Amino acid sequence: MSDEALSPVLEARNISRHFGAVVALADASLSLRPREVVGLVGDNGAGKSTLLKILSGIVTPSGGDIVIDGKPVVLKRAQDAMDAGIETVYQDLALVDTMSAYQNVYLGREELSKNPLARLFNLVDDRRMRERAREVLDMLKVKIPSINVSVKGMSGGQRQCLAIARALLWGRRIVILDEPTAALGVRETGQVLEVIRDLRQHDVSVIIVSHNMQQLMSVADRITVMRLGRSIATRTVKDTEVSEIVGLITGAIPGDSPEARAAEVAA
Amino acid sequence: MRNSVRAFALMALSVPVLIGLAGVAEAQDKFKLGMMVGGNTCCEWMKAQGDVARALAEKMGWDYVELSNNNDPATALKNAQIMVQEGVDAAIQFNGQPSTNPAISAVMKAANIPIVTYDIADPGMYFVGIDNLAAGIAGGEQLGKIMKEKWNCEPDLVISSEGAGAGIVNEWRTGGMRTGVKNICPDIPAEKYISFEGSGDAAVALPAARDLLAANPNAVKMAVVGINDGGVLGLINAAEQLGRADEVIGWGQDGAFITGDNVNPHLAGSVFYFLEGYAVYAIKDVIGPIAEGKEVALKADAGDPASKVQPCPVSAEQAKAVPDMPERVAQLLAAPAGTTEYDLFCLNK
Amino acid sequence: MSTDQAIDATPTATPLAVRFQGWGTAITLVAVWALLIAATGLYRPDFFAHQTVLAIAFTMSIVGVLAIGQGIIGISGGFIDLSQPACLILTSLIAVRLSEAGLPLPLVFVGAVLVGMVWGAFNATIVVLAKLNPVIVTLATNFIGLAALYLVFQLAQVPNGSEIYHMGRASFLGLPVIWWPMLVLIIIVGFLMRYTRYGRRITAVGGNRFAAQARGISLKKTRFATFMAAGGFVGFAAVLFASAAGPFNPSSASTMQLNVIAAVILAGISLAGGRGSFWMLLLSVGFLSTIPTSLVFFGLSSDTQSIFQGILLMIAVAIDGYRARRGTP
Repeated sequence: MSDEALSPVLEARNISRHFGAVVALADASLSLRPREVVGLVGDNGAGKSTLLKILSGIVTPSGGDIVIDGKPVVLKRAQDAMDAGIETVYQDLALVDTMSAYQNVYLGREELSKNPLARLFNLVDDRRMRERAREVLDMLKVKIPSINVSVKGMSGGQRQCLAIARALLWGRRIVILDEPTAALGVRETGQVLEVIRDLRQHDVSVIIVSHNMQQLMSVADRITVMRLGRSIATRTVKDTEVSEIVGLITGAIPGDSPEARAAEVAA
Repeated sequence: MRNSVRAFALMALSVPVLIGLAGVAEAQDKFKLGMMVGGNTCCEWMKAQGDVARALAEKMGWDYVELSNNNDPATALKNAQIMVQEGVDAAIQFNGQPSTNPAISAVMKAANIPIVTYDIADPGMYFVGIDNLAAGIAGGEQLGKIMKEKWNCEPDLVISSEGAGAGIVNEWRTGGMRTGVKNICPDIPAEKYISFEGSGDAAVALPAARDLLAANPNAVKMAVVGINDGGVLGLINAAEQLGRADEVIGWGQDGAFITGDNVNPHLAGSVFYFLEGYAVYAIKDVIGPIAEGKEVALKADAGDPASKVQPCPVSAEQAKAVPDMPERVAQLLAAPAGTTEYDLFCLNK
Repeated sequence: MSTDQAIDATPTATPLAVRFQGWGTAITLVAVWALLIAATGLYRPDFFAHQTVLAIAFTMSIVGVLAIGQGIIGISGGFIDLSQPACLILTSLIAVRLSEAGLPLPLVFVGAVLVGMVWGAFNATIVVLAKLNPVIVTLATNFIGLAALYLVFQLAQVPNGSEIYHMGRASFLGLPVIWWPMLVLIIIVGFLMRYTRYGRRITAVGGNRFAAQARGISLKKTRFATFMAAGGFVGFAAVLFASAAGPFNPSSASTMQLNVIAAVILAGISLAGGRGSFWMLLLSVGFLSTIPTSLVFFGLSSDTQSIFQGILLMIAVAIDGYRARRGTP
């Protein structure tokens, strides 16, 4: 589904991160093409979450380059990542429970009223925000009871979908999902995965971290495996099997040579 | 840090103490008075209490030591111990934080030093203080006279602004004022007397006073008494806000709001205690006789004090003629021994 | 497992509770207030009098403006500003000194509000720099502030007969002059909190500060903004207080604190943050200010009001906790 011919939207090259003498990330590389879903897997402590935090600007790398649309970027703060078009969706921290769905979707980027006098007082345009939020949710086929009620009562799946929809509404081109279905039931998981697939049609690329191999195989185009702080292999989903990925994670199958990985990234 | 300061202070103190001990043989016959002032920076009169005691002690030819309690109970206790070390023959204190009073009593008793306490009683100390009941009655009688003259003793209400937190002092002052009113106007029916809690604070009393006025919508001629000027002013202000102050007459206690340019026209008068001049009473009735070697019976009860400070009712008009505190202190110290401020400044004897 | 998009295909009907969200608080408050007024009026028909309205409206004025400040702190997740008494007395003293200096009333307001905002900024600086809980910080600054104020003055009052003195005693359209600014401020702030970016973001920080921060909303800036705004409202309330209270001392404002907090909770402004309408303050402050007046009409001493207010506060806190669990906005 992704356009292999196109140059990647995001490239992370040889990223490392030390906390004092502790090496959290030794050498990780990752590439993401337009409209592609890349799965990021690895055992606990393999460095996945450090890499995610670096890509969302929460942790600064000790070494390596991040390139977005061919241009090198420095992500010092979460805001830098957002400005660069990267949206990270966390499982628990995404929404304000006491606010309604559309208010959450627009949080931090509320649309101002068209009326110049009202703009002066920073008045928001609730009607327009409701309309747009509804449009986007419809576009992604997200079903919620009402965009006007507090999100507190919504299911985990609905909340996750809202947070993802928000990324689309804000014009993000890269969405990072950290265990998006960890706490969800089967039906809800299906709903979230469907929304992830739909993102592709809206020019959004996705990096998804998950422990559920079956799920990744069903939604991702490629899978990058991390082990002991290194990205050791990347496989195209249609050319691999769950058993190979699991073998790479556990070390039963050795990773690719650095040269092969470099070629993979360069491709 | 604090400890080292203390240690240094103690060392510094011990030097004069040692020198003092060396000189004891000569100074033996010189009487020594210790004064522990309240030390709350809120109130000028606390400092003045020390100034008056010092001046009077010098007049008597006594030695004088003064320490400040810094409005702190622990400091007050420490000061008592220092007074013992200093070898004073008698002591005076005003302790606005009286929780350590029993301990101070014990320290002084162990050293066999008589101690006078101002206004806040302790069973082990000579009590010198205002006669609150007399203060109440005196103020009430003045207000009664105005009521008799203006209203023929027929007010719509006699309102008491209580300060229940002050306990017996409130009963003496506020109750005493009602007694004083009754002394002049005995036929006011009991149901005309009503009370509200004002905590002796104009701002705190205000809402309760408004409610009281609202609940008595037909009252016009209203006389107001209370534990202090602030409590009485609370009702006057409330009446102004509800547009019913025309015939309100208040008489306060403690004189806090009866002097200066800002006297409310409905506050007809108050009662002065002349707090700064208490030392005259303490020396006249307790310390002086002790210095002469006489036995003075320990009267520690506020109801039966070692010396009663005479309260002075003043009308707003008279209050203008009373000099301010520094001037009063100057005149007091220029007067012959034993003269009180009541003698000097009270026009309503 | 993936393609059945028919999940929750039937659109959930909007529940009744949702359609009337926010109305519950208003209806409850109006009902209990009306009940209180009716009961008192039945017992004492002369309760229905202009004097009663004046008494209640005067009480509402200062509590109402203070409650706006307290509400802003609450809704932004700062829980409570316990330093309101010290700030109120400080700014009242400023108001007294400025009016003694002969400044016109508008400048007195400006001066008191500015000093209040400085006080708020001081609180916020400690909260932000020392990364301490705002409740602890304001408890401490209140303590320090009152102690320092005792060093500065014992009693203060606005000059008799001055402009500000008359403001505290005058009426306009049958209600106290100082009641009207309270009304206008509550309406304006209610509107701003509901319909502006500022309001939305302050509410969001209170609701879930991590989520708000993840959306690029600065917690530090919000803390400064809310504490300074809250301090400004205390400064405004202080001018009303100084105008009406007569002589006051550093501890004169301490009894107001509980009333203000109770008003905020009863209005449904969550102390846990993120929820509430400031318009409800009009009802809660009105209701709370009627209680002591009613008690006096029932012949109960006005100091029994503390008992009633304590009980009410407990009920309000219980309701607040229930709302927080239910998540009704």
